[in-house]
Amino acid sequence: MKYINTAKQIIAILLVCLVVGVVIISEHSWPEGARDYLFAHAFEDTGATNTVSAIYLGYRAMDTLGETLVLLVAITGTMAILVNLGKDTIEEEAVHFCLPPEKRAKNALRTHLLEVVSSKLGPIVLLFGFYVMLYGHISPGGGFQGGVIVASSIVFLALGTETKSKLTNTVVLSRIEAIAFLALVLASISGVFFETGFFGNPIKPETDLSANFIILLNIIIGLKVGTSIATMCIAMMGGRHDL
Amino acid sequence: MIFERILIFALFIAGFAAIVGIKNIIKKVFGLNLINAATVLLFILEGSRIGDQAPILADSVESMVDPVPQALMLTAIVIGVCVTALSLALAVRLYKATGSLDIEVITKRLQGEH
Amino acid sequence: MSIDTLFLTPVYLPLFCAAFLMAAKVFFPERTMLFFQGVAGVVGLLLPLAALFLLNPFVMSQQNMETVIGAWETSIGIHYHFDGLSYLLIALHLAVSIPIYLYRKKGQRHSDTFAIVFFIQCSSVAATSLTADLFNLFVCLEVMGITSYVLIASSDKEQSILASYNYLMFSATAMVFFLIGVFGLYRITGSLSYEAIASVKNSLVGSELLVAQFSLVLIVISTLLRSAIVPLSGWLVGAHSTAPHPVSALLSGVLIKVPLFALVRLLLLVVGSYRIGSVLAFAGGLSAIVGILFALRENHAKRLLAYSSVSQIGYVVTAYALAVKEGIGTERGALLLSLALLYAFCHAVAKALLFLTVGTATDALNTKDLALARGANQALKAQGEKIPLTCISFFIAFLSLAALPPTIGYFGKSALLSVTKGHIANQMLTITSVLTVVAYLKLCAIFFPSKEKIKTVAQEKSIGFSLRCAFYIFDFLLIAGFFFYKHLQNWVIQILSPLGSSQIQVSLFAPYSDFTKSLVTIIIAIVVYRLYHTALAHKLLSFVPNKGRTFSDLFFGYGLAIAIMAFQLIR
Repeated sequence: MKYINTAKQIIAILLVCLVVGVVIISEHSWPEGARDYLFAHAFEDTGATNTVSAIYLGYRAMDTLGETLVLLVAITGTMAILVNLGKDTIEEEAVHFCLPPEKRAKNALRTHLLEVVSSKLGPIVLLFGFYVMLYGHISPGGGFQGGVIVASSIVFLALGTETKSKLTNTVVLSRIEAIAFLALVLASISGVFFETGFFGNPIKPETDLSANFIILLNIIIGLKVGTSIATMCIAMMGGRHDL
Repeated sequence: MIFERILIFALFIAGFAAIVGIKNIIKKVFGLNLINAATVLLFILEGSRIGDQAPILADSVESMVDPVPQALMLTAIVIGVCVTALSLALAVRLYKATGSLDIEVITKRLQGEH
Repeated sequence: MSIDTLFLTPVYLPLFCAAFLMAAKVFFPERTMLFFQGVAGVVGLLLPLAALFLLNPFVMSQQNMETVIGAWETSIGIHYHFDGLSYLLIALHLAVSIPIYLYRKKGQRHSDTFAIVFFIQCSSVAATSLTADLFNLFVCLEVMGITSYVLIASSDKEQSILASYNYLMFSATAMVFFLIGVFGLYRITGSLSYEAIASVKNSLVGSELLVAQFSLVLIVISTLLRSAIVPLSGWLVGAHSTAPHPVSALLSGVLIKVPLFALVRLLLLVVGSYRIGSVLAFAGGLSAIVGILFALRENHAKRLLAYSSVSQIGYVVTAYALAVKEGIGTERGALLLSLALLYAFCHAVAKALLFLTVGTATDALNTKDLALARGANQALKAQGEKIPLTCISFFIAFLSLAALPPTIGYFGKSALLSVTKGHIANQMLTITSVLTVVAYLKLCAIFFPSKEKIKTVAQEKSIGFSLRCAFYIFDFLLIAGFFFYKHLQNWVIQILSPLGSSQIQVSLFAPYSDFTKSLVTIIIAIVVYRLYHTALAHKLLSFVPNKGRTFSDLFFGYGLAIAIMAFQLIR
């Protein structure tokens, strides 16, 4: 009986690999049409010199919107599933990192070294995260990358000595996230009212300022991604006092 | 060139075999991450063959790599991370409900109580 | 309001409502949420419906519109294609979602998260129907998938968590294969939009053609997984049976049909894709029989309904596959596709209503086991239902699925069966029709009067006004569909046909002979039902395994499907 299961697995792997192998291993030259077009026109069309940003925030911005939706739904789902786990046992509380101030002294894992170093690192990483977010259109970076760095800086702050920081309060973070998402949807619909179609750049005619739309989208996406991932990390670390 | 693709294909098979063959629900998620990584590597590697400089326009850049696969893979990486997060949350919940991480044991225990 | 802005409203209006509800959830107190959800429902669901009414003349004149999102130059932007098929898919989706959104019970858990995720799913379904770009299809299917996983897991029962985990692993792996398929096609053609790929398809030879065909196989099978055709249907029973009732209704009604029809445009991308049609037709017939045999074996109410979904989607797939085999552009192909879509609509409305009524009834009785559940009417009356609306709605939905007048299913099923004659799948579908009636007769037992007094479950009035509205809307759709079927069919055929409806003689109405056929079906079904409890039937049925699919079965089915489809394409 056990062998039937193993046999099924082996047959499945073999059949799939046969088909996928042909697609991956076959030799073919990569097409150059897209690269040539972008080399010639990306700066005039979108105002960005980072062509990757020009693609995913300009030409194919709809995919970025879909990706943001996947992130939003995944985090909502993860929080809903984890929050229902009920009260934690004593052993589990001992490994929580993000604790209210009165419990911190007794927790064995929160050493003084950890708290001092991470609270000093937090603001620097936050600054770096904002730099990556804002300069996404001229050097490697962008909304998602900067947002994840901002999230990690918020985790550093949560591990640090500061206990009253608003930045690690999940209620404040969820408000920023909700406003950022609303702003993203409004920015994408704005093209409809400015005659450039859904998700078109509403400031396109004036080429001097047309990069601003990409900068705006980078900021909004960065805030949304950063705050939602930070909320999820803080909830997983045990800091969900208010959910 | 073809050797690199064969290595990526081997990584792909390893990930898929992990998803299908290993019974631990968390190791299945490892397998999913492996095949996602293999796909990302494949796109980026193949797209980089037509040029030798990063796709950022500057005066000194003459032949840059194809930026389209890089932009597509940004989306694919984020989607992969989100699916991993959700699947790990489900795995933790299953562990709390049944006390086991083996998918066959979990299925048997949960099918008993309809 | 130009056509340009109107046809995208089903995509961005629900998104706006989801964002609005998210902001309302964190800024406003709990008790105002119901009001905000009502406002969001009107803006997100009724306004797109109004936009569809305004678009009707455009679609009736068979124009279609191809745009690039954001008005960029064509080779890199995302193409969207609006034509009659997208219009009908969005109409089907809205017709089923609006009553489901109204189905609310007091004390439903997670109701605000449900509303947000529901609107995001609405937007992704509309985007899937409209897209004409490979990578955008990937993103839209991922959004649809992740909203399904979260909605299934939201019922908090452990079985639903396991079902969601199985579905997640299976579907996420399949989407990675989809990406490999996109890699193959992009490498050969240099573009991601359907029309650019289709324009080079005739110049491919040798190994290029082989890679293109295999890539298409990967993409097609990964999309067909969501429509749950045998052998890809292992995930559906667990997922649809353990989800909350409105989620089951939405999944069975809409989400298994939209990817199937969105696949139509993909099949034009590679030479020789009409051969996919013949193997799919056979798979459709097989799904129908296998699904209903498993349904007969089941004693759990929602699992029976889920297996019946597998069986009924087999009908749709058979007609759809025969349409692909003939070629979508021909007259007969368009006729088959229209009938497939019409039957999908009949099934969507009836199955959604069944899930909602059976769900309400079994909640009142607190058991889902068909051997124990009896006397739902008394239990529901204790919960505040004045007229036995749940029982009447269940009965109307049962009539529709059994193909009896006065419901739309009567015409839908007989039209489908008569037009698919000549293929072996037709015989399989006819046998399935008889067995379907038997399985649903088994389900009717919930409403038989109970012998002992029902101990009323201590639940306050939970049959509210909006829940009754949901039932009324579904009943209306089923019965009105019967009286206006001819107009409905002509409208659909005119929208989908390339040559105009005057060329197609649709003489499918021989009312008397069809009615006698239905009567014969019912009589055979009642006889089989009587024999069902005998020992011979038990011995025959015990050959059908009762356990659900294990995890490795899912991937074994996937491997088989890929191999069969690849072999069919290259020979």
